[in-house]
Amino acid sequence: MRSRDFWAFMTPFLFLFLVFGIGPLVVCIIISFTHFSLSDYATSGIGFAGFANYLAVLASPRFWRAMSFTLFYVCTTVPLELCLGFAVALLLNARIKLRGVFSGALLLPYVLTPVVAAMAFSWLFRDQWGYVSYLLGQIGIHLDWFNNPWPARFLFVIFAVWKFTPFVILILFAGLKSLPREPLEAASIDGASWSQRVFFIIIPLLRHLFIFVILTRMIDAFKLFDEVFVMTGGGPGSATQTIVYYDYVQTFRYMDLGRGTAVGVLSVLALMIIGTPLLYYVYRGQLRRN
Amino acid sequence: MKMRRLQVVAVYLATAVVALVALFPLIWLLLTSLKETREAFSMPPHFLFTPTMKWYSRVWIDEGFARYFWNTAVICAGTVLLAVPIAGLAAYALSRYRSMNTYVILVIALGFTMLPEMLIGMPIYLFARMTHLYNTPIVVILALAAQYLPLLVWLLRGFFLEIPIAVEECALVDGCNRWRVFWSIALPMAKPGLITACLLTLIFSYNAFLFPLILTGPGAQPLSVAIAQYGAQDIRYWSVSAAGAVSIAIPLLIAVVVAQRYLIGGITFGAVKE
Repeated sequence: MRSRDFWAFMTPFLFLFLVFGIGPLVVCIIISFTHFSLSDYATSGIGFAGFANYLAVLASPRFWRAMSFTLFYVCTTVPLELCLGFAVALLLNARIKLRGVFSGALLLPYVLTPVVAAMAFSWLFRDQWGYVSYLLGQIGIHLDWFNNPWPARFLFVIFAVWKFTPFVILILFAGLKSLPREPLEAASIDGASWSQRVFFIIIPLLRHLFIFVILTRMIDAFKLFDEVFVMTGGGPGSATQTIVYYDYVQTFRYMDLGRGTAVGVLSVLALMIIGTPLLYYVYRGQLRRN
Repeated sequence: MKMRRLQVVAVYLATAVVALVALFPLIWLLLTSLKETREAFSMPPHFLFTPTMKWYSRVWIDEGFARYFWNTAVICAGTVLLAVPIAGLAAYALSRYRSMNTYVILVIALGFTMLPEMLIGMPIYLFARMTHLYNTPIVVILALAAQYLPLLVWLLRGFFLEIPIAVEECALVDGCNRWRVFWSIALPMAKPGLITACLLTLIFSYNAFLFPLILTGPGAQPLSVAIAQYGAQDIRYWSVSAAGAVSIAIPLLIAVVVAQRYLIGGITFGAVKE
């Protein structure tokens, strides 16, 4: 393809991406180094602030609480979704295809608007009016999911497992179907048990798919916001504020743009700090080979 | 042989359980929206009841959900019309041009999908206020389209790479310019990819929450933002919210029933190489 054509085709994309993608990102980073309060910038102005915003955020216990809840959420939901999804995909592997009503049933939780799904889900767990609360009460478990910090946090974990395990099931099921049959047949002829086949053949062969699922879910989980807004509003207190929700509160409730943007930048850094060692650990085998 | 039968039964059982767990909250939501408040929220639950449609009329007529639905429709249509063609052009170019530039662009675009939306959203909010585009669908469309572009480019590029270039090269030799080749040869062959891209964009923009939340006020709010305002209120409004929630879910249900193949294809696309 000629260079001229390439750039002609790319121009709309580059324009939109730069103006509404990279541009805002740069503006955000710049603002994080200023004092910028939306509510009174007319009076106190916008001034350079150095690292003041970052220091203030890092010194704030609310920030660390939001960060720790976000990490807790990521580190519980992703493994749960992966293991449960893999188990179900293995179980369903006997079917030729996931089709029709069943795959539709699987898709619905995943595709449903997060705010709608979160609302519907949370009603089941309400103290006097929720069906799940009622059922749990029947077997002797009385929990106020919304007024205690840890039950509220686990509510999000349960919700995420319900919503996103279908995603894992669909992907891993497709992956299982695409596996070559010979290694598995050879192994069963040689006398390998089912669990040996799973752990020594299937899982290694699906390694890249697992990594894709883990990374995708990790990044999405890190950005949790919609459900927090609708289910608990970050409560009780600030127990279920995720880092994005905390950013939102700083920016649009307290109107402190300098702080909000600093939180945003720090959250990206955190994601990179967590993600890079994972990527390195995973790909060092390939890097060494190349 | 008994193992076989047991296995089949186990699979059917697992299927049924998974489907039930997946659908249960939604079925419950539907039931709640058809019951009187007293019946809906008293425990133990009433499974036999006389259904009423009054919450739906309350939601659509009294609360004016029709306006929110219109806003959502405008945003979704606008986002699809803006994002898919632009992504298609870029994806085609990135699939046919051999250079370091393509990888740089692709990797940067991919990195962008990892950023939390607030980082991008807040400056766009400032932009919207400064240009008086706040509370209009246009700024939401621009923000959402820019957000989905990287994903769509990756998706469509994959589809374009599958298309054999022999036909295109013949056409080029015969004197077609690159645009003609794209429009008349590559695009028709990439139709399933385009359908998937449009469908995914529709669903993403339908479900979008943060950007519409911060970029719209009462006038241009889409359904997702509108329903979120209802959820927070006290229990007297929960039946209304349930009817609203079911109403919002219905187009998605239709999409799942009608276009399942494309949806699953889109979801598994980046993951599984056939």
